[in-house]
Amino acid sequence: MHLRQWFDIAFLRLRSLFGRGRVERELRFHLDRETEANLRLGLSPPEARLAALRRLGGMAHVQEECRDMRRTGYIENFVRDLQYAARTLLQSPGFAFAIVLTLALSIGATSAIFTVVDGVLLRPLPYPQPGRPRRNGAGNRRRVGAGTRSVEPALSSQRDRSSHFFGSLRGNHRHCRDCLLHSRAAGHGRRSYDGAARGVRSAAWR
Amino acid sequence: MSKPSDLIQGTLDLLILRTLSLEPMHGWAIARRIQQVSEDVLQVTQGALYPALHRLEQQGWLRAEWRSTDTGREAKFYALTRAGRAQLEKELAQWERLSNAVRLVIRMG
Repeated sequence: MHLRQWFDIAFLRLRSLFGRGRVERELRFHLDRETEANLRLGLSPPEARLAALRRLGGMAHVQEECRDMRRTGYIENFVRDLQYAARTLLQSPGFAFAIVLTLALSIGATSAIFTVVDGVLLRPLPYPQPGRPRRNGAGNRRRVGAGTRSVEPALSSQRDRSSHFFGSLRGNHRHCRDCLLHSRAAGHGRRSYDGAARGVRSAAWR
Repeated sequence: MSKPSDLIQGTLDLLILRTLSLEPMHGWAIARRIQQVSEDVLQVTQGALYPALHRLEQQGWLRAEWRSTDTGREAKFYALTRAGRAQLEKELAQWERLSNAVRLVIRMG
């Protein structure tokens, strides 16, 4: 179907949706012509009118059928359904309130549960290779040596071996800040921190 | 008198399109013309005519406009569009095929 034709049809539907009087006007014209013809046949005015009406087979019925042909009935029925629903709800406010409350609670509960499921189960962890996380905790520190709480040596030794370790730094800013503080304190670790930062960046881009 | 159900399904569209291929008309004149030309055999009831007209207009085969008649009253005139003319050709060919087939079956043996 051509675009132009589609627009024409859309226009016709819109018009028949708002101009409800048109069909009636058209049928009334027909009725009058029919009545005139019957008068010419020699019928009395009331008889002529009645005969014309009989042949038409019910004004309202024909009007309804014409409108069905335009397929705007769905929209009109939908609007009427909405009006009916609003009226019914206003008649029994208690019932309406109970329904609104039920809907609100169930929607709220469902979305709360889904938020948890989405965050915990569905969404992958926000760094590369989320399936292979590595705990950056007591286990590493113990290997670094007794007495030091700095992760800096462990960080520089692991920098080249595992990129996802640096990737994990991105997700955990506390560790980043820790290693910045420690490398400043150590005086020599600035470059290695920069290297770590580069590693973090490249891990983020990977 | 012939009821709309006496007309073969789909024939009314053909009759309307053919009648309007002569000149634009309003609904009442269309019914009148069909009745006169068929020598009162075909009487289109308005209950069938107007829904059909609206359907054909919706399909883009007819264009309707309000115009005043000879008597000065406003009436809705229907005219054939180009798509309607093409549809008329199609329906005429279909009708020829159908009526030929029916005639062949009737006259066999």
